[in-house]
Amino acid sequence: MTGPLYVLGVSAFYHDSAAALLRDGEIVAAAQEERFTRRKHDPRFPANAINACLETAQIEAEELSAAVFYESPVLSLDRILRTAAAGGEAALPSVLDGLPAWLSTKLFFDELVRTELGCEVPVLFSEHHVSHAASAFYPSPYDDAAILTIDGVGEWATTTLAEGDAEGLRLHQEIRFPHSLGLLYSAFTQYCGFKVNSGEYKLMGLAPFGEPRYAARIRDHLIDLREDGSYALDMDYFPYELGQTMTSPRFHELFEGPPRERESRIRRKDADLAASVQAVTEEAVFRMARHLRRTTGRSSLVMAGGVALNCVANGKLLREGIFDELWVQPAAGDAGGALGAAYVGAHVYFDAPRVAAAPGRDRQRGSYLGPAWSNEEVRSFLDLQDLPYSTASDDERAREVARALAEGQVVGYMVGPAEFGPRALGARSILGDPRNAETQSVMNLKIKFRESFRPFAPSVLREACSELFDLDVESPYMMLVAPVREELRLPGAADASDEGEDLIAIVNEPRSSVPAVTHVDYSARIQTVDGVEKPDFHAVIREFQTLTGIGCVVNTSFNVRGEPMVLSPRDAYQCFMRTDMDLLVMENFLLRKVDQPKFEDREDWQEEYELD
Amino acid sequence: MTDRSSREETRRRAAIESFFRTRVLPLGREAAAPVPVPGASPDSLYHPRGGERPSPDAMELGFGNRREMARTLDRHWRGTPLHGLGRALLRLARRFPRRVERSEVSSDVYEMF
Amino acid sequence: MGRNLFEHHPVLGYRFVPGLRARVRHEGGGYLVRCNHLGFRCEHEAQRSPPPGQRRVLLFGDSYTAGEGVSNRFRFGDLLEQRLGALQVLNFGLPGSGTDQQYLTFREYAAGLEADVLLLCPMVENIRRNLDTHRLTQGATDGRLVLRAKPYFELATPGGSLQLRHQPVPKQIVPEEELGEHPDVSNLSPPGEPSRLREGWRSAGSRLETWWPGVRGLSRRLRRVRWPLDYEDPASPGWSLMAAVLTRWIAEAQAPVLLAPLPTSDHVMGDLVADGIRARFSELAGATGARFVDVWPALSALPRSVRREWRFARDDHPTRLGHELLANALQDALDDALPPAPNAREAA
Repeated sequence: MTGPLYVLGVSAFYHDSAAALLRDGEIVAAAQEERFTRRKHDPRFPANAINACLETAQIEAEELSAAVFYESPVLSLDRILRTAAAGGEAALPSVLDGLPAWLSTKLFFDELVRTELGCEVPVLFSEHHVSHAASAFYPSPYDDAAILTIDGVGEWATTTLAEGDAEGLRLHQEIRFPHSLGLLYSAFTQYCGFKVNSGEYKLMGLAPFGEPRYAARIRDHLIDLREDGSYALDMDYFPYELGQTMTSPRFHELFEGPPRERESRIRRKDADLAASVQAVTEEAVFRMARHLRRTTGRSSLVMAGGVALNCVANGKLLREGIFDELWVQPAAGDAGGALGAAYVGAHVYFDAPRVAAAPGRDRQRGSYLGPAWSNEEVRSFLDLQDLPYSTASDDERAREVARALAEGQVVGYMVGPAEFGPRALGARSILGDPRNAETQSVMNLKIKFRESFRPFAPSVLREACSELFDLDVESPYMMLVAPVREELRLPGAADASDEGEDLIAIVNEPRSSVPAVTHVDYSARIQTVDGVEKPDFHAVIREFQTLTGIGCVVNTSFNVRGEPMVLSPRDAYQCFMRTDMDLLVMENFLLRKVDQPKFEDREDWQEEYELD
Repeated sequence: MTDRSSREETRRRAAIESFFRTRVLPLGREAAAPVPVPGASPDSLYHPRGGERPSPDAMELGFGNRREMARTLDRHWRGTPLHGLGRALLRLARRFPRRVERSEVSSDVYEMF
Repeated sequence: MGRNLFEHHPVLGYRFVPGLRARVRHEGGGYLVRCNHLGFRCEHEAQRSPPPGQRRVLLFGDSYTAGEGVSNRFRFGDLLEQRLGALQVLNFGLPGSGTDQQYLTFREYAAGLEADVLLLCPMVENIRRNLDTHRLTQGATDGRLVLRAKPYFELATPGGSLQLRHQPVPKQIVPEEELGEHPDVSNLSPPGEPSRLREGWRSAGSRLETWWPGVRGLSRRLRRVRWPLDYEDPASPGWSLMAAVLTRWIAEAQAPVLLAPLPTSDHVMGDLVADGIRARFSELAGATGARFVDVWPALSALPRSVRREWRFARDDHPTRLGHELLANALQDALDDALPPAPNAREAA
């Protein structure tokens, strides 16, 4: 072979379609289709994401050695047809609903790739959980590791235990559909009135407001959880095999009532259910981890799959000390499957050697793998519309942003390549002052237009992390939750579980000297920021520390509720003008809200995005 | 939707229903489980994969065109009650226009079909 | 939605975003767009002098020259550079432009550059764009059709002096929904509203073409259709204006000029007669001292099966093969016009 080995990975057709590109086993680019199409969790063939990957690499499609799809259509069809056969007549609605997409699109991935790229790229297929396992292992900092992947469902596997080393991946055990820890969590997500596939994160955020009063009931009735972490669900409670709904009347009977209506008031019971399923999930994950440690003897664990986005469980898993080290793929959901598929192509199919990681670093490059916009592109966008702006050098920008934050302003921050994965990591972020007790509810209600109970995350200087939080490892991807240090907690803050039904009162009660990022249980979902992967963001927080003494800022994704994270200057400006942000930073351009002309917008713009 | 596309839609639904009743439903519950994997422990609910390594050969599915797809599926199902469904499925696919993609994922049920 | 490829320019109307690195999705499989810091799709930054030991061609035209549909390195300008050696081709192609904007590009960015040859490649249809005061364009970020102002020249009297209008070019755009009410719409090409009879004829032709591919071309060949008609009459307003712009341009050029009008795909296929076009450019070259490079003979000598691959199925821009064929047709003339390559000089 002449020239570099380029392998394209693609995930599509279920949720969060994405593409990722490797060059000689190293990540060049990765992007999610939703960021381009502005449709949250867009499941369609990721033509724009593929284009973005080739654009970043500046290569022709003919230079691709292969395109690898993240799952096997043969095994998926096997599951679907067998499940339909077993379901009998009751399966007909789900067959009528689901089969057309297979017959018109899903079977024809090969053809879609050739049509999109206009050439004969070899098309390969990887198993869904092998893709997840590869996405967890290959970009991790470890030479060898145990691998745990847990999600809703791939082909048959819903949980896979594996290991990776210099020889590649080895698969040990799996749990098969319909038994699924991910689907158990999704079932409670739907029952508590949130959307499946996006509301799981809310359920996790709601859990600290409740008590695990129903955990025993879940263990007794819903899941047979063995000592080694293997499990089976009682499918009488879960009719999702037939594709119509997640929970059965029997489930509703067990939990004494119908599902909560979406957008209705959140009840104490919902918080307790959230706490309960969270507790059971953690217990299952810990057992699997212990089993993996015992059977593989590895000291490091890597994780992927949608359940690995449960940063509360991840943080506790780390503190349990079952493994010495933990690394979680930041795009743990299906989007990350594209990256994993590309790795499987590079290392399994083409037998490319694994690239050595820099000492103490992983190979995910901070997950800043998406497209970037140059200063010239930002300027041309602003000039075309005669929008008032000022320019700033990198240093001036950091000082300006820090000053605005210290004055209590909210800043939209778009600098560098966009993040790959669901978390904003300082490339497409809204930033705020963590010292302000009202920041959380103001940012939730006036900027994000979302539920007031949802916590915000701190982005903290790596070097200042242990001053604020009980965390002494890196968490660059916001995949770990850790407690605020004891001495920073405010005395007398009420125990959420003793409060009545009013969650807003609980949210607004300051709990530490960084109240905006301290959740009700004194926890925080932490991003540690260093000067290597993201020097511009590090400089902002360092300047904020100089001004305030606190080396951390509030960081939430740059979007409104239901909207995918902004990607381009146009997206960023629109979101800035639609919300109560004060300052917008796009590369080296600064825009102040007070200077901006009236923004012409549709009155019903919020309906553009379906609530998540 | 025009009358014509509505009629086509109805015909396609009827074709799927017929496929379901004639080819899938008769398989019954015994088709539900894939080929049993030996070696599962009574104390454990894990399906063993025996430390297998992902195989490069398995990545080449042969899904380039309808004929290849049918052959690949039926090879996978050889010796199982599902054998022959590959060809039937791809015959059914002829009735469907290419690239009708849903742009949204369900908010009520995990997309698993 | 992709990134915006163009930005407003007060003289030219627009240009590529300087320094752009983009990939555009396309029916041909997508193509890479790489721009220099002047805002043109060119692999080279334009220094005053060419690099030591290199000859230099300044290349002008519209999207055919800029290479819509293909990556930079597959365009005829880049192919000529690769083939002739010791040559730097500075590509100043501006998609969607008329000869007026191409001339303004020369004046604004290239007049002060050292060059061995100016290669002017107006696409024959550009003659219509010179008459336009606005152009319909599609926004890259939202896909909406909008009317944008462009610079244009007016001839005070036939044979009189050129008056440049729309300077600076207004930024204001007219959205698609308001096009019908806009006073400038009448200046859009093709001018005027087509008659119902003509519209009906076109629509019937389109339907027939889907049943019998190639029938439209056959009909045109049998009827010996000529287009654009502006070339048929040396005194037509379209040709008068184009000739005036080119005459001024050639007069201002500090290097020999090759005038190489590019055919539409219908001309390449022989479906449209180009006698008028070739005659006008030949006359103009004779009158101005430029050299007319006639690409028609080379292209029409190719088998129809090859010429059919000249353009994309839907987009009528040249494919990679189309650019190769154009490079073939231009190569000898350019080689003749250029001084010998330095190593060849040394060998001599």
